[in-house]
Amino acid sequence: MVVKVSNLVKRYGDLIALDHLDLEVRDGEIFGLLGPNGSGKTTAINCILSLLSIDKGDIEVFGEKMTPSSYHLKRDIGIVMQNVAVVEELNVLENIDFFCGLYVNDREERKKLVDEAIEFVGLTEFKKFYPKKLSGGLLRRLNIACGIAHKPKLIILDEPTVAVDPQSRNNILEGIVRLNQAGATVIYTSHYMEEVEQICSRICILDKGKMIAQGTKEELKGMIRIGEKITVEFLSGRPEDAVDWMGAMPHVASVECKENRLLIKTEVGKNGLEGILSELKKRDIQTGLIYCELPTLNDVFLEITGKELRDV
Amino acid sequence: MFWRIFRYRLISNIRDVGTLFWTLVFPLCLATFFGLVFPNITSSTITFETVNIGVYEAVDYPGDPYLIENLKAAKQSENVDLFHVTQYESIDEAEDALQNKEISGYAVITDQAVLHFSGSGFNQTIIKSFFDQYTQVRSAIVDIASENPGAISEVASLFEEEVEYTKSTFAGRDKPDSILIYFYSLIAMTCLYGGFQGQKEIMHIQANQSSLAARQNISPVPKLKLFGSSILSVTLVQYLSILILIAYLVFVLRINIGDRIGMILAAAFAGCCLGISFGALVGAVVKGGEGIKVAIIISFSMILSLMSGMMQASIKIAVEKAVPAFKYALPGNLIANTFYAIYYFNDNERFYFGMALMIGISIVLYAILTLILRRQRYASI
Ligand SMILES: Nc1ncnc2c1ncn2[C@@H]1O[C@H](COP(=O)(O)OP(=O)(O)OP(=O)(O)O)[C@@H](O)[C@H]1O
Ligand SMILES: [Mg+2]
Repeated sequence: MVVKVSNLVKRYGDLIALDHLDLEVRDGEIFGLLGPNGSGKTTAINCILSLLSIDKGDIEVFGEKMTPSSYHLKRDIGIVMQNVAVVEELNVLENIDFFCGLYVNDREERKKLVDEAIEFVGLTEFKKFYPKKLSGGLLRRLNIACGIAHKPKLIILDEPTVAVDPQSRNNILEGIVRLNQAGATVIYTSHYMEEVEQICSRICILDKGKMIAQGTKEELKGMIRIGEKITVEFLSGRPEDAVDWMGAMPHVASVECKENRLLIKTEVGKNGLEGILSELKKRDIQTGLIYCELPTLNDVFLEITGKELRDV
Repeated sequence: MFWRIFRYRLISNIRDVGTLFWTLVFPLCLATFFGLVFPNITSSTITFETVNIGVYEAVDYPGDPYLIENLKAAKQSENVDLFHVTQYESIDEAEDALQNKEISGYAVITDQAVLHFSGSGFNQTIIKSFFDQYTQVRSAIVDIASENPGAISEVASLFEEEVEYTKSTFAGRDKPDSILIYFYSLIAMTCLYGGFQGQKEIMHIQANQSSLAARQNISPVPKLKLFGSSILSVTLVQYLSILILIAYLVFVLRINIGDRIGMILAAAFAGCCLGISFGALVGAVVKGGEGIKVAIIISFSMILSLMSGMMQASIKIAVEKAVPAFKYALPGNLIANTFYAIYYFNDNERFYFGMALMIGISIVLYAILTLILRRQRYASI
């Protein structure tokens, strides 16, 4: 177990930012911390790192109790903060060398690590640039390089892709997977469920400081009743009229009507599409576009909290 | 580790133009401004030489055996006489000498000394002060003597006291020059502006003040090590700024700030520590954003500089007269006064006292800071 958080409570005055949170991050995984804005992701990370005082609970890192002076534990942790944290007066190379230098003393070794980090985030051409001269996306990459240059065993990334274009975002995600393949355990927080689904092996969903689900993607999706989401476009007949009989069909969990489309959710493990199509044919309804989706983490979130992840 | 952090902090501080404006460019501009306002600054700072004084004793006057003796005995420092006394046979002779600028003034001694000066310079002030005091003491003596003729032996000792008094009033190495007050308080202000640097360094290591600090707090470097190397680098940068300012005053504006350079540099260093530790404490203790802290440091420094006489020398004198303790309690006055002590007084006592106070206060402030910084977790960041 790389990180073990049990029963963690953190208050900011009257606000309960973390409400009896339990987390387990295992060796070698990419652990996703998913939650809408204000759900307590950053707070959780800062508590794990012993930056914040906590009201209750236990935190262990690498099997030891984490305290502000656990320097030997801190040595193996790398953090990419949500806010860009670099020194304005130092250029890209110097910034990475400065942060890496907080962990690595040997000059030769550090030089190698810094070069690798620069290459890794693709800032080779920008070595001499000052942070002010970097675009938002490049700055994010510098932020990442500063956090990971010393090759930590545990890497914590707090929304590293905010305000980054899709191209760079993919680069970053791929990079994180590479770091993981090279042996690092990763904690990745985000409110983009696609990202978390894409790279994380296990996921914890947070809402209002409470953990609402934890497990692999499949496990999470298994927690809800939806098997597939089917969308049917009506070319003849009114979809409103179809809501009732469709909802009465076996395996159909819910039906919703949007303009000339019907959104149908079927139950887990049953292939409902076939039955629905034959029923439509029987009633002589002409259909246009039909498509079928597997449930996403958003559906999990929706099912458990009653609200959309993106809405929050 | 320590020295690498130190080196990077040093580079950052040197490149931080915004802060350097306040701690270096602004004082240089003010110095230039003062230089323009007081154009004849160089001519008015000639070192203080022995004052030539003439004496004419009226023939019919019984004579005051002590006056001339006292004039001759008065010293401005260990080996330098306060007066060079020439006795004249007639008032005309003395008047001629005065016109020819051989003497700064002469006294006609009857039963009361009558003074004649040409002009109203510093030398004349000295002569006048001497005679004012002399006359006072003398009348006291005459009173004593008339009531108690037996006490005449005490008269001599009273005169000795009087000579002593003259000595400490004027026993400067250089001529007291109110213009210098402006420049000393300017140096004091620059020292206090080191507060910006101190505040900035605290912001860099207190995790609840910047994400940069949070990131460093997560690293395996103990906070007091970060603090030590940051403060050391910023002290160096600030001290360099002050050295540049002093060099500018001496070599470009040609202001005579005295010849005891070692002491001046030591006082500047102590003042610099005082300013930085003060700013660091504001940074650590005051709640609120950087803007509020900077505002506090600026206004504090400016007010203290004003009180130490930066805009109007008389303010300093008035402040210190109203509350004598402010001479040492106000950091600006303390720094400026330590400079005066070097410049004007031969005895190093005041200088050492000022130095001890500055260093002592800095140490106390740093001790408080260490206690504050040792708290390692934050309730909120
Ligand atoms: N310093 C603070 N003082 C008071 N309340 C705070 C503080 N920091 C965070 N909060 C509150 O705690 C809750 C959790 O905040 P946190 O920053 O951990 O959320 P988050 O999940 O990281 O959000 P985001 O996705 O926006 O980064 C929010 O309601 C927030 O308003
Ligand atoms: Mg956050």
